[in-house]
Amino acid sequence: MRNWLFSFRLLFLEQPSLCQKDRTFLFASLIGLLIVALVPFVSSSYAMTATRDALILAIFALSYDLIWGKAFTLTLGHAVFFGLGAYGMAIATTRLGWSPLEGILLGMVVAGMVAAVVGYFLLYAGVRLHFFAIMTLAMLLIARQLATSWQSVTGGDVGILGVPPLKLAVGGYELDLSGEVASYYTALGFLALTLLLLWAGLRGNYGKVLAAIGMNEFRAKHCGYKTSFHLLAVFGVSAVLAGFAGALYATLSGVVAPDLFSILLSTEVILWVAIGGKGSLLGAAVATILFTRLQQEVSSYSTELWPLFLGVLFLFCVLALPQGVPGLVNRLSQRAWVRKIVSKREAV
Amino acid sequence: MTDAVPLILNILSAISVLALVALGLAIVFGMMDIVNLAHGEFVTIGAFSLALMQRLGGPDAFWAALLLAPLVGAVVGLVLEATVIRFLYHRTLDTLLATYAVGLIIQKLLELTFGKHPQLVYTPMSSAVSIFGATYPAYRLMTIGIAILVIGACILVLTRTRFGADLRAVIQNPQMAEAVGINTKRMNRIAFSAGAALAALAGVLIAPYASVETHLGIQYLGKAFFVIVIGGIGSVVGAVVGSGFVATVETVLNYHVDPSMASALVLILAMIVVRLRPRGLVPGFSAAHQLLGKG
Repeated sequence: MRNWLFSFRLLFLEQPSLCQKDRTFLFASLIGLLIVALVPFVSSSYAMTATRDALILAIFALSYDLIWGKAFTLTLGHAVFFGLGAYGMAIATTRLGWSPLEGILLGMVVAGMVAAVVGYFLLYAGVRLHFFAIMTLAMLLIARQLATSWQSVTGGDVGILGVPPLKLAVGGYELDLSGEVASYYTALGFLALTLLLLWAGLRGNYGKVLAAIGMNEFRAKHCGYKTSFHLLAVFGVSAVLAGFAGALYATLSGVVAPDLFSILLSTEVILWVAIGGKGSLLGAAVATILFTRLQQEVSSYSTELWPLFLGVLFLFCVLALPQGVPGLVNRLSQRAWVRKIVSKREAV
Repeated sequence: MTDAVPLILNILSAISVLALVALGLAIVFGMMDIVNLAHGEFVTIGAFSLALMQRLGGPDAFWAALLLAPLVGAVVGLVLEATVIRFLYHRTLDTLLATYAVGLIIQKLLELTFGKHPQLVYTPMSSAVSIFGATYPAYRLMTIGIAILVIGACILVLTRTRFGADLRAVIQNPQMAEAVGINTKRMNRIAFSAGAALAALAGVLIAPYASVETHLGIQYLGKAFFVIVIGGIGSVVGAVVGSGFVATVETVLNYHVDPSMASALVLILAMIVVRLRPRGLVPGFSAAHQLLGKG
């Protein structure tokens, strides 16, 4: 317990003072959240539901940004945890008769436990870089097979229908978060909370420790950090967060299907984070929302085209934008002509 | 005894196909440090070229496909190397993302041209042979034979020829290899397309007893990567040993439990093996291991 309190203090209470970069982040996040919060007032009911799904996927993308962007550990099977969260929620509520809140907790716990076991075996064995990515890809393939073939529990190809909506009983009152507007703001609230917590937890020394491990694990280890433990911890937290997003997704959309364990989702999340800028948190969330909306629009014309489009975009991103859009902006701002324009404007 | 013979032959044919896929990957992934997630797509391409040729030339086109499909694979591999991989040497994680995208594109293009339904493929020989008192399909025996021949040839080329020595030199120390006059770019290109050709050959061989659709390759991709990680990264013998391990365990388990349960158990076993022997059963040379300070 004391250890936990200590790490809590380390992560959240001992904050370094705000510098210019932090102010920009907070300001940009606030603006972004406000814009998203205004969507229900101007958009149709379809667009609102679609944006709500995008918000949940943004939580998922944040969990991925934690493991890839902050700890530099690429995984190809992150959708496993999203799917486990969703299935945990669905099974707990429809098969076991638990309440939605307990269902969400079960989903998170299951995702976290699977990550802990897999991570223990792989990370402590020194499986890193692309080897780790490959092993997690294998995990995803197997999870999908299990989801389709273990019919008595997972419902096979059909999945599980009728996952109950989110209703919480708080001290005698029933809080109904299942309505269109209520669920939208629930998703937005959780997204904001996740963004804030991740940002606050990693802006201080712990973020630096993770960056050190990611950049040169050998050196970090010889500085006395238990690198495998830290990576495992981050992997676990990231999985729990992904599981949470999955559970939320299940309860809001009402169905879960084996599609959740698709390689497509695992890849899309990489693309979102890559384009939004690794480790930038806000960038990943923004990219997720924009891309998911784009996908929903493209898919309404043709569901076949989207993966093709995704592949081309992905290839372009790897070859032309290795640092994502923030990297591009950085590079552009180094150029003489851009600097001239900027400095002129500042002079005025 | 009569029960054991088909089991052993089943295991052998599973090993031989897996080893063919893994061999190409062992060179590309293990040695050149390119994570080729499009490797599975070369298996698919091999199977689809067989389907296309049989559609045009009847069931007997199998023999032509056996020679032409690896060629198709090699050409696609060459194009991929020249357009994408060439820019990404030394950016391992980026090769992973880029080849993933390429795989997705190839998969969708195949789906758009050929449709989603499984393709029709004929077995070139439907007879069964009796060996050791058990009957076994002749085609599968032939698969085992071809695989042994090809794998043997590859090992000989890598260890006994000038070309193999050059390739190993490029893999272990590219700068030094270039300094002594080896054209490293050309070597990389040849190795990459050879890996693709091997995968396409495996695709042709498995097509008659698999469902030929666009997801065909991806099932082999996961297993092949396992094989490399278990067998030992950067070692050709390791790839064969690893395929032996994975295919045996999976085939035996398939007799007792549900197939997907069997794959899950194989994964768990693989992880335990990796935990106990981080460098694989037959450790080989790998740049990544040196990077991680394990080499």
